[in-house]
Amino acid sequence: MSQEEVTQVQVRFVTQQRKYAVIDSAILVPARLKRYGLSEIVNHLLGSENPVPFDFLIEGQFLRTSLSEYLENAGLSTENLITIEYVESMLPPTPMSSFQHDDWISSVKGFSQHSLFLTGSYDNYVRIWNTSGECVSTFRDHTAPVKDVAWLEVDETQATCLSASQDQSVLAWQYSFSSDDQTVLYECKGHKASVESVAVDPSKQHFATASWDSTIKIWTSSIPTEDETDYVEDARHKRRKTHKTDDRKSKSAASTLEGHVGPVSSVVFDSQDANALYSGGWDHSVRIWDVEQRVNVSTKVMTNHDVNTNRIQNCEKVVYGIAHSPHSKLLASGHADKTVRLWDPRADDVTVVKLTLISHTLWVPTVSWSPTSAYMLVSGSYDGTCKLWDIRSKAPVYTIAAPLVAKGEATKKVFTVDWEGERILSGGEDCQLRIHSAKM
Amino acid sequence: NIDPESLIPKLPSPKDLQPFPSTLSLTFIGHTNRIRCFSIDPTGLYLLSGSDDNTLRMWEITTGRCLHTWNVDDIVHFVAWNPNRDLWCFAASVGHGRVVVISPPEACSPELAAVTDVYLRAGFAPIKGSVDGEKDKAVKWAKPTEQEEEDGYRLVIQHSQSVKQITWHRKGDYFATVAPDAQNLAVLIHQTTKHQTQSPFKKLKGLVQRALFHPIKPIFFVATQRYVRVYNLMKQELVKTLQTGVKWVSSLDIHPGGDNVIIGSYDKRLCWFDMDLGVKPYRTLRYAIYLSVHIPNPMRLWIHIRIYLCHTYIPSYHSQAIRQVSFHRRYPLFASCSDDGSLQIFHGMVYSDLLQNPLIVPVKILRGHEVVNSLGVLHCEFHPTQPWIFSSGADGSIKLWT
Ligand SMILES: [Mg+2]
Repeated sequence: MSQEEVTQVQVRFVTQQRKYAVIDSAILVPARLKRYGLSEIVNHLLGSENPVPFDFLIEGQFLRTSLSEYLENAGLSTENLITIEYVESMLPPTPMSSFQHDDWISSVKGFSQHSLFLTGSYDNYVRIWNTSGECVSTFRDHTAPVKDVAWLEVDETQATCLSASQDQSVLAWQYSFSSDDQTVLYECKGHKASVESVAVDPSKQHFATASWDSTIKIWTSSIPTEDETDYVEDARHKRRKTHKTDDRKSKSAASTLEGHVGPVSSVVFDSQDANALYSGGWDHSVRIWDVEQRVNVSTKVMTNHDVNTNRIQNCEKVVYGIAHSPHSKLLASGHADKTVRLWDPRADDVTVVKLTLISHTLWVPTVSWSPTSAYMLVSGSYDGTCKLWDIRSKAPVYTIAAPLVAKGEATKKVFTVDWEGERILSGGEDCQLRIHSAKM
Repeated sequence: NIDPESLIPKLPSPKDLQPFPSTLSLTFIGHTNRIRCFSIDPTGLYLLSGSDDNTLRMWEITTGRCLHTWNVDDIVHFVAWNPNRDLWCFAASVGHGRVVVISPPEACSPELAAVTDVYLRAGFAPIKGSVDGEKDKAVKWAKPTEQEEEDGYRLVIQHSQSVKQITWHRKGDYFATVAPDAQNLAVLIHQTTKHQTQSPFKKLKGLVQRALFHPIKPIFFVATQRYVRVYNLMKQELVKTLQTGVKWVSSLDIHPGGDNVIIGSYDKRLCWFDMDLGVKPYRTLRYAIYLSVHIPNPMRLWIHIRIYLCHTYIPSYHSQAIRQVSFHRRYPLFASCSDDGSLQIFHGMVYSDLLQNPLIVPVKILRGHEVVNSLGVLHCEFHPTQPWIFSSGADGSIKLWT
């Protein structure tokens, strides 16, 4: 037996997952052990018949090496008592199904309670799908690519949806499951450029839209009784609208939030506070807004803190997708420099970027937090992959690889991801709505 | 006993001069032949390209999506967006002297479309007392056909010779065209709202290559094979003649401040003129193969002397003709692209202090375009707001570097 194999280290196993708790005491384990060996020990302590795979954290970081390597890197000796936190490993996401679209998919939102998916596409259409892969309803009223979609309300009888488009409008429409009828409730008018993002507040009373016209607009979700804006003859699109099929009313914005210098890419409400809104844009900033007061509470211009010179630098990166976690209260943002950044919106410090996640090889237009975990999120990239991250680790936990493309062909960009229920939905240039199971 | 090394000025390291474009991020795929030209709209969201495959294409920059294709039945020499954000149109030169002004149906609000249409069509109204039939009309203004109208065409201006370049005045009403073979009518200035064309120069010496409006003042730059002539448009007089020292100018750009000019040449050189420092180049950047080998000390001293005489030899500079030079409008950056298939990015800082001369530092070489039949990167242009650059090539692709 070599020296290393017999070296032992004193450890304490702790967990926040109560059902897997073991007696809190120091035990000696071989220092050569890695994740798998430690997992065997914990399962032995639990006396489990069906072993549960665990991951291990020391000082909040995942153990990806052997214990002895960890101790060496941390400058610790085997004399120290090491506290190891263990969590149930996440199973690798497995592909469940994929639904073919006619064109690029710009946006997807799931609604697992009713087993429905909502997609927006570059063919100007919005579609509702069920889990059997049937397109339940196709909504054809936009005259340019659909850039984002959102559920407003869904119940047993009908679904109310919002769609934002490059045609500069946002449409609210309703689909009845029983009668198969589709009606446009209203058309939101006022943006002067492509509407890139739409987000509904937790109370469902309001929704916000972000546009390339550099504004964010807040709208009420009530159905207007009469036209709220003047009708402007759209000469360019006249021939496409041969007849007016619905008596839709136009809606004007309840308020307009101005502050971004240049296009706004993404907008999202705080998951608990309907009055807090977050946005990201081409001016390299993530902004926090007070919806009622209509003010830009705080602007986080992305910075690099150079420790050598103690200088704050604007690192000049466009912000694309953003997402807010109901559990960790952190914002995640995807960027043109291939990274995902995590922000604490409650912090005042300008060096507020808490963590930068680096692994993607091209732009990251989309991010989505796990609905159940404070640590897990998924990102989609132009490199054709989706990556699952546990923010306690700097490397991605899993990579959902793109299907192989023919030699010489460019990778198919991912434009949208949504982690909803126990599924990860993604879509992009390959025109496939991909569904992966993501069980925690 | 002076160490020659100490005489060479210390330049900052590229990593301290960020941001600048350094990696390939997107490739715009669709064209099937060489792309001589493209132009980015003033918001920085859309790109328009013209190709030898007889099409014009409009792209969404963030995704690389082709939003519209115009089949124009001939090769496209040049495209230029109207720089005025309150208008939505571009000009393109197609085939033998046909210049069209198009207002794309995509990405335009009904209000903006209406304003643009009024602006472009105003000139068709008959002007009272106007005498039609000036002596020898240089060009003919015409209405597009009904079918072309549907596709966004608003104006057609027929020239007598191929138009190789179009350049807008910053306000978006006037634009100049360059048709090198049209002799004294090589440079024409067109007024969009009035549908009128002027020939500002009675006599033009040399073969005109490029022309540009000064970014602020009523000054106009005309580059011929060897000289850049600077005219005052108000006084109708020649202000100065910049002497490039190159054999054949290919391209021209003006710093957004207006006092510094760069030219690129088919004989592989880039000249930077600081107009405060006279009519000779402040710096000439050129390729020098011998710098990559060991240099004996006396030679280093010689290089130093050459730098003093305004020539900067860069071991890795373009080894083939330079096709385009371009300044960034916001960041202290400029770039050149070449038939050697590469783009070269430079930090180019202009100081407001009159005594401090511009600082030029090479920061990055970008390679990725294929060289096809000795043609490489034909056009390059910076993004209007981000530290990004686009390039197009003989390989039929457009690339975005960030
Ligand atoms: Mg000066």
